[in-house]
Amino acid sequence: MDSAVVHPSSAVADAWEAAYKESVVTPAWEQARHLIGSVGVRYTTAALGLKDARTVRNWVERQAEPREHDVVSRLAVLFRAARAIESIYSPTVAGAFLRSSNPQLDDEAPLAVLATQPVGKAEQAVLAAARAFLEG
Amino acid sequence: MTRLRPVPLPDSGAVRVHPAPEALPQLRHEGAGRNRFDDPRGSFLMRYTAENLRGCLVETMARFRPNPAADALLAAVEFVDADDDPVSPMVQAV
Repeated sequence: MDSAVVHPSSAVADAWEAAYKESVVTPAWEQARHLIGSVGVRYTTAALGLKDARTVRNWVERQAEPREHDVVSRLAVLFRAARAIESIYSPTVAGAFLRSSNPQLDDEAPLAVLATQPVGKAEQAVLAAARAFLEG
Repeated sequence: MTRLRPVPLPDSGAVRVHPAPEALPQLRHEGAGRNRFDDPRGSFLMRYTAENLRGCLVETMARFRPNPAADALLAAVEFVDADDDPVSPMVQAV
């Protein structure tokens, strides 16, 4: 096989792996802080299924975890997807990915899927859509 | 082990919009592929190209269509100051 054609490792694969590791080792409040600085507090709040932006800001100010495990899980998924996309493209592209209709999600938006679907199902669907976006 | 045979690009060349256009995605054996022409059994890879830039951009921008449900969720968020929202330049294309 021509080695000039097939590259087993790429910037996309590296970014995906790095985002996964960061999502595991980064405390929830730091994930929230990062997301506020990249996609913004409005996107972060909405994607977690919340309506009050003060809730997200409080986690950062108090360096506290969300009380609900479900929200912690959604936050990690949001962080992982946004981190991977912004490291390859930009925070603006990550935000656009989150709010737009996505063919891999039957034309639902990743943000809406993450906010409204059961967290296990949402995690699988949103991460698959993010990876398809980066790899396709 | 699956033996892959790369399909050559057309002599006239091809266009790809991708952060690493020369790279193939990795075969992970995680089931069905995620993009439109991926192998439903996940046993071979697909690198997406088009004959011209317009074709690439149409496929890329398919993921950036407005979504009213997401817009409604964003609009419903309260206690967001005007300068809290990052400046997001609109993309007008295709």
